[in-house]
Amino acid sequence: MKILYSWLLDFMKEKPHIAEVSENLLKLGFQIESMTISGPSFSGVVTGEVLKVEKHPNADRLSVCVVKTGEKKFRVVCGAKNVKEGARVPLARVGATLKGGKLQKVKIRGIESEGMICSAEELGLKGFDNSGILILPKNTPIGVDARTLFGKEDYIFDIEMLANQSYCLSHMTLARELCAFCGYSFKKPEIYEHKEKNENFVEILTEECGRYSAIIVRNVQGIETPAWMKERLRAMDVNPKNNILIDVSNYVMFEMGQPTHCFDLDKLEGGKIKVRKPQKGEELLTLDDDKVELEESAMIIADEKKPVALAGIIGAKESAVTLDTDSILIESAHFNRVSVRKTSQNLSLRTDASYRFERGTDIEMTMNAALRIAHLIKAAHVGAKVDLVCDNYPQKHKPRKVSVDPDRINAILGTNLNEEEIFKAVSAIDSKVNSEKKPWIISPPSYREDIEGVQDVAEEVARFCGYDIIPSITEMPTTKSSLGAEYVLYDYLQRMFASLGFCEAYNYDLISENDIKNTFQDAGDFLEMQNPISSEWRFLRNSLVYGLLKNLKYNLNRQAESVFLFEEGNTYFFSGAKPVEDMRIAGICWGEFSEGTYWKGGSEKADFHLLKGVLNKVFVRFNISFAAGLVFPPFMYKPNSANVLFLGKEVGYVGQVNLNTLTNYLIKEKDVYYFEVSLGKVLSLFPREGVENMKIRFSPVSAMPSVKRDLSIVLKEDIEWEKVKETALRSTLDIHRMEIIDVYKGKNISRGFKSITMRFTFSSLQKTFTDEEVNEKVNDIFSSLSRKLGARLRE
Amino acid sequence: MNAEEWKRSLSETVEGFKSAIEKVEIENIEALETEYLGRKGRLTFLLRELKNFSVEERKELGKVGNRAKKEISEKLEEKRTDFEAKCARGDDRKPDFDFSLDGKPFPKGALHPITIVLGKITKSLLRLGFSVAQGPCLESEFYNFEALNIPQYHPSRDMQDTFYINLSNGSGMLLRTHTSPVQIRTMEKSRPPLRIISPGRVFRRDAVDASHSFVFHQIEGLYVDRKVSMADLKWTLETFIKDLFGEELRIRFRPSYFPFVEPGAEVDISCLFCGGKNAKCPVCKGGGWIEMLGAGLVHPNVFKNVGYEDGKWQGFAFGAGIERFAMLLFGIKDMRLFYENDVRVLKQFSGVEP
Ligand SMILES: [Zn+2]
Repeated sequence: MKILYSWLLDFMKEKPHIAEVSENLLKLGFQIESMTISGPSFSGVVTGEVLKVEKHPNADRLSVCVVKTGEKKFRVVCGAKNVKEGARVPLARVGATLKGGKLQKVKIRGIESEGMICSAEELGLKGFDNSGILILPKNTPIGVDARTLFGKEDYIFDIEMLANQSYCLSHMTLARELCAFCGYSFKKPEIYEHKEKNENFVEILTEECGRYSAIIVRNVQGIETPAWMKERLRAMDVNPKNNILIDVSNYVMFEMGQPTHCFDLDKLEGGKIKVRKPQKGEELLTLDDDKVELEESAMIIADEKKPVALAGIIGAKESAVTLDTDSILIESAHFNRVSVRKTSQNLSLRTDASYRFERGTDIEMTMNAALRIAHLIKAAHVGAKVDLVCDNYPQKHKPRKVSVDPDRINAILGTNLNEEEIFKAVSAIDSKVNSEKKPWIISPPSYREDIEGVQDVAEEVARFCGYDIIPSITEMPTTKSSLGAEYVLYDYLQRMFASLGFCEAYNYDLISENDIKNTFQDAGDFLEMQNPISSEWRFLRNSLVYGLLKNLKYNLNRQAESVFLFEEGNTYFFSGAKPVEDMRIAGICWGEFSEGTYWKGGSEKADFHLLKGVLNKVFVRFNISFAAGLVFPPFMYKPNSANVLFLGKEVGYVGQVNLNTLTNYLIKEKDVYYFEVSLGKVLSLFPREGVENMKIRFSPVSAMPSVKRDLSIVLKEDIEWEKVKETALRSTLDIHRMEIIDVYKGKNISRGFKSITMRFTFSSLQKTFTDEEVNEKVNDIFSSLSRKLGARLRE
Repeated sequence: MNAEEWKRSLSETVEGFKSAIEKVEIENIEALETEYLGRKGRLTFLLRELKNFSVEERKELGKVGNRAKKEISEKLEEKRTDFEAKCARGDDRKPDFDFSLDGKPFPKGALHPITIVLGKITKSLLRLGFSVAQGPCLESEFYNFEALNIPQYHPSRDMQDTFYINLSNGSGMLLRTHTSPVQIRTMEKSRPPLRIISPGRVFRRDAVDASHSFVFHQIEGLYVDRKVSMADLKWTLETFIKDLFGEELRIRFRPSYFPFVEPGAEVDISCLFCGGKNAKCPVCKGGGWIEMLGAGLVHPNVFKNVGYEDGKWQGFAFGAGIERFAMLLFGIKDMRLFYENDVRVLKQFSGVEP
């Protein structure tokens, strides 16, 4: 909200300096977004001294002057009679902004003028002699910005008003707050004094209206808005209409915080105003030409025949004031905040009035705001005549009682304030509070509906004394803490992948319909935003693949030589009809598994087995295995992918990304590998322990030397290694370790066959094996392999 | 040569030897011994001169001379042993490789800067007795708003523009706009005393620019006990913020408003970049303070909403945006950088401990 410094001072008897005001605003929790200087609206004008005045060679009335502004001298053509040598003057240089626009370099009767000596008028200044150029006092310094010379400098604060600061949404109410909390004396605005009040003119037929004040003023046609009021409205970023009947309503809203509305009395039918709910089918054409069908929950102002305003939001066009309006009805009412917000939200109609009503207005203020308008109209035009003052106030404000024990205040704030200090602060909310009896019972004023309990009062005490009174000390007892199984797992995995050479990626949870199409899926299976920002971010991801593919593309575009990324993040999908979320870890790999080229040579590229090795290492304690999968997401290339299993249960998948998907993401590379593991599934398999507390049981190691033996066999190429391994391990005891050290197809091996070389390490806790014993074991292994898998020895 | 001259000559000889043996190479050690102790050696010559002195003098000078001879012999022996050992170790041989060649270039992995900052804050608060709690990103209006004293049709809902999920049953499911629902979920499940933090991802329907993102991260803190004050809150925040940014940092509370706390405070930290001394500082804009997070004492309505007895419990809560911390800590100026995942950027965080 914009606050004009001078306007604020209207309501404070003391006139505190701008710096003091901004400091106090900050202390009270009003956040000043910006502070700008308003006032004289010119720029680029400096003070100078006229050194020389000579007649213009080609024009009698003009003179050519030399003006000095510090170091520099300017040759200026001047038409004023009062220009004199030695005079101090405002000099606008070429490029200066003046009332009439930007100053250009011009030739005047053949002589180029390097600037202009200005009159007060040209500077937009009021209250100066305008017969010639503006002669400044003799002691004016030379070379300074001329703006600094004119006292009427004003400031505009732009304050971010929090939702609980609604009672300060105007100049008067903000000043009132400063007075209460910072010790200034409050000065009330002048209002039209009137005692007689009529109640019958307005009929309130809904509980959503607590008070309706109205004033009829006649003989108001064609009253212009006073210049000072226009200036203030401009400072509020409002374009004055130069019809006081329109402008004064805005003015009073910015001044007192109470939204009001002026009707053209002659367009109201039936001589009575009703506040009521709409009837079926009623419509209203707003001031802004919106045709609104009124729903039953809305609240309207109506005359005897028709709706004339949407209560608290906007008036109807038909009954609005115009240049021809002769008599007006000023409305100043209190409407229920929820009711106004509901209607304004449902109709998407947001106005300055609805903004204030939905934040809560002061029910005690309505009459005074209307009387203020009457006063301002009369001040602008003495002939205006107040005809009727009506105040219908069915929901009289009953002050709340809040009980305050000073010890509680200290306990809440953690302070050691003495009673007098706290009492002083409490008096800022309720000046009539009685200090004799404890606990103190305070009655917050009508505009402080936010003060409900002692914690609210504690905040006010802290604001009064300054939040800096809160010390930084604690009496918190020590206690044990835990990370929880989820955090421990997430943290472990992040560290492992990072230490293995993967960089961690963070992607948005939202994806587009293109992402779904690019990966051959159906948008109907995805959770969709009701109110997406744009089509690019419309669905919730069901996998981490979309972001990681885009990251791969992004880095390829930037000449990355390899990309190894992982991400831990939420995925979303339907389980039946129910939307659910699942934490996942996923990784994408492409290129050399190395930080650049190694001069010794030897390179390793991302492929299935590299990724499998990574998963084996990371998930070493999770009883990991791999199996040919039945179902993969359609963005995976099924033949080169496998399911990841923990404890024999499927938890994810690993493999090559489908080439069509890569093409859809404009990725030309082919060897892109990807894995994704559901951490929800992992945690359900390893529920309480987490990685931190996994059961580890030590097993003894052998003191006896172990024996190694290699065995090379030839077998059908489609027999999986897993099968070979399983068969061999079952065929004899004491195999400590079994590794595959070579797989070979080609020369000397028949088509359809492969040769594999295995290395066995035999070891026992009890004994050292003799050669014969080891030979026997290898024989057992081989015969089992040959019997079950048709293996032959390799010659 | 009188006795004094002889003594001076001796000490010059010993000094000469000492500086010579410092620099001696293995091939010259034999020559050095001959130079001093050989038949025509410098020390041998001096000792031989003794015969020209009186018995008294000879006795005295002889003692000094023999001590010098012993010292020189020992030094030579020491040097020889040293040379032999070096020889045995092979110190004198040429290297088999150029150690300045690059080591094996293991791939450089890294944690994401947000992970690092979240981890640092979590670690710091864990030491103060806060346990980690988790909550879902898909939330209901109840947990995200109503239970937190943000009723429907209340203007405080404007503070958080919300993403709603399009569901046929119109159940009002949404993406949480803050980590505060975890407060409610925790209090519903457990009785005080409670001390939890909840790091996680949150969503606001904001357009993406240098300082806004519709996805960002927060860490929530909640402490509930019989006696909890704003001072406890200030101490807790000061402790973890100092852990993160350094001991010289100061923090400041300002009045603020969050519907689920009362009193509410905005927490500023003193400007790390200029210390409040630069009126043109781009970070604090000359004010000397940087807005960091929101906090306050748990609002009585929140306790009421989770069914805690009226007036029995007090608590504080705070919520901090992690991106902001990371930007300050690492000098990052554009929030979008966190979601670009440029490996050249990410690798800069290699080896950084959370
Ligand atoms: Zn700074």
